[in-house]
Amino acid sequence: MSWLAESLIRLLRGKAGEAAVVVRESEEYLIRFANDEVTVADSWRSYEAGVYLAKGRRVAVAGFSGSSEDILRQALSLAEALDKYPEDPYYVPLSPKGPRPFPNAARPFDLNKALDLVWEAIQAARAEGAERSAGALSYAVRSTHYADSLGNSMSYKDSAAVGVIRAFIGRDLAATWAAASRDYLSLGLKEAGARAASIAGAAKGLPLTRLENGNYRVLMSGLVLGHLMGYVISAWSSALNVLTGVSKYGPNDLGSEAASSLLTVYDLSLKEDRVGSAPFDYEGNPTNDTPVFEKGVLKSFLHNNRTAAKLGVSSTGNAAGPGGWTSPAPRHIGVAPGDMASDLDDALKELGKGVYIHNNWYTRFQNIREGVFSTVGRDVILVVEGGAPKYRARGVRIAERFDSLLRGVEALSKSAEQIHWWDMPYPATAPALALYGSLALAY
Amino acid sequence: MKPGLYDVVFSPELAGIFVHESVGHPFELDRIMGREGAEAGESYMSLEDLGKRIASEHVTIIDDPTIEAYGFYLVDEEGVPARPRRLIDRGVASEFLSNREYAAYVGRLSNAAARASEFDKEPIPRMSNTYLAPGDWDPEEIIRDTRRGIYVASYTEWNIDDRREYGRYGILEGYVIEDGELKEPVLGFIEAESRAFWSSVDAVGKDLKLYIGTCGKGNPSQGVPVTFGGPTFRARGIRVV
Repeated sequence: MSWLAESLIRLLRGKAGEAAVVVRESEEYLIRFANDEVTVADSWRSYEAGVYLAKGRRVAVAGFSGSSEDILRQALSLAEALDKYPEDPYYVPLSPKGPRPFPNAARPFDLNKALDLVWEAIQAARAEGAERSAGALSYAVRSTHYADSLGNSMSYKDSAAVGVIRAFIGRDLAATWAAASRDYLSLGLKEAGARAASIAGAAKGLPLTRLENGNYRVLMSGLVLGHLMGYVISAWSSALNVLTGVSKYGPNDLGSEAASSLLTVYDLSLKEDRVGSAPFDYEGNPTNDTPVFEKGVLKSFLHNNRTAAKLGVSSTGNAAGPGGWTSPAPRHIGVAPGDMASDLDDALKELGKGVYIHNNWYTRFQNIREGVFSTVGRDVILVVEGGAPKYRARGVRIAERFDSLLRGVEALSKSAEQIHWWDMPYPATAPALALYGSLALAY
Repeated sequence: MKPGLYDVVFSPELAGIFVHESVGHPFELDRIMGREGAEAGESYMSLEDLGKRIASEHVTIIDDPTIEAYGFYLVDEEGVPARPRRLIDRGVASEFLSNREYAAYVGRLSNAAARASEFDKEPIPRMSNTYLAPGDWDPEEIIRDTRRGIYVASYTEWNIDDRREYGRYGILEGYVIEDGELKEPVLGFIEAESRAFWSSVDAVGKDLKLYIGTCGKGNPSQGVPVTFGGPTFRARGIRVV
């Protein structure tokens, strides 16, 4: 699709003073299953284009999808409206600095092999006590091309695989495990199936209780930690949010102690084997692994050229996606491991008395600047006493503030793994478990 | 205000989010049969619940694609002519939302709920224009009839579990009701267990309003245009924290 990127630039060069386009072609593959049977085996090809245009200090950005004809037509419409836009106080000239080295490799998809992986995962879950499983294996092979009106062009090829399995026992008990990888053959879906069933089984036979609203010691899985840190990083460390007052942090907060000294969180945009990483961003700049919190200290915000110019620093290469031309965003959340056990039984002993939340979804906010949110527990929720599960609970939420997530960490597991699923905002590499001394839970 | 059980009068805006989250989604037949288990979730409803009372007699909830609103269509993505679906009819679970595939699994015909966001996405059971059917109360009359309670005009920070059983809705704009009059503003959260919530409804107004939204479901995620709404209504003994 480099021809489309070049065609767009030829078309737009005369309409705008500056133009940059990023065209992505994706081959997508998906196997879904439910009740131990495959429900969908599908493949399709998609085309997306991000377009940046500037005329004087007037700027327009947009993302388009559809056929190449649709994309060309929509880009032209955007260019023709450019004179109507107000001047942009964040305008900076295009200045791409080129890509990082990148493997540019992707394994071709083999449907039969992938179906075997799904079947093995279902069987592994059954062997561990699941009565039925649902899940998905998705794989994408993508070619991404950048071109601009200064004559620069660059390309890369990558892949992304996500495998998720949710094991059910009866109607009430369920647990999910989800893995992400560059290679669908390396997802470990079979192990994920066994792991999900084992966790669901931990609640089997436990009496159901209702948790009263209040503060509890909480052990959460990496699925929950990765999900929540994705929201924290995107909301509070995007430099546009810092500049516009949407983030709690201001430019002078860099260097302050903002989190537990146990907490180190990176945006892993450069690490090649992390799903989402890339050799260059939508401004044509090299990406980085950017520390946001390092041992609790706020180290950096995520920048594109525009925000970096405002704060007198260099871009971190976080113009991620068409929206990244205006608001920098992370690509892969990396939470550094700690020294707590990764095994659930051992970590429950560490928890002592409290609540284990295995998975979550439906995170919503009252106030992003204050970080006031709630998220709904999903899958098994164990009420733990004396280091062992005593009850199971339903309808439990974490109703908290970002600050509590950042400052309240007491321990993190030794092992971290790459995860992603349908309701996680970003792929993440997160410790298997995280222990919090006190989090507010609500019904 | 102290956490506890209150009689709560909800605006049409609240009626909309309640019908969408706690009735529309759990009445999607593919959810009920487990197909969305790893993503959007399952349902507190089961096939055996059809024909059973799950709400008070004042509650009729309809999903109607033929209303010329944001969720309008006359033929679904599988070529089935659209018609109104009475999901709950005077408190009784009456009809699930289905496409051809899931209707066939239960020996029924599709009721034209198959929707796809784009030509290359699979048609799956979805809502269209979903609302609590109007009753015969004037909205002001419901408030005048409430001795001590809360009126909730608008919401924020809402979410619900993946079986659509336990909803929690932040009060963005609400007022104490004392002796039938609106008093001081109040903040807090409504905790609503779906069946108990709809079973506690005892007054439904005439002032039907619809609100637009984009509903997400499926893998890959498909956003489709919908409306959701209803009139002012009252539910007794609702937990407010």
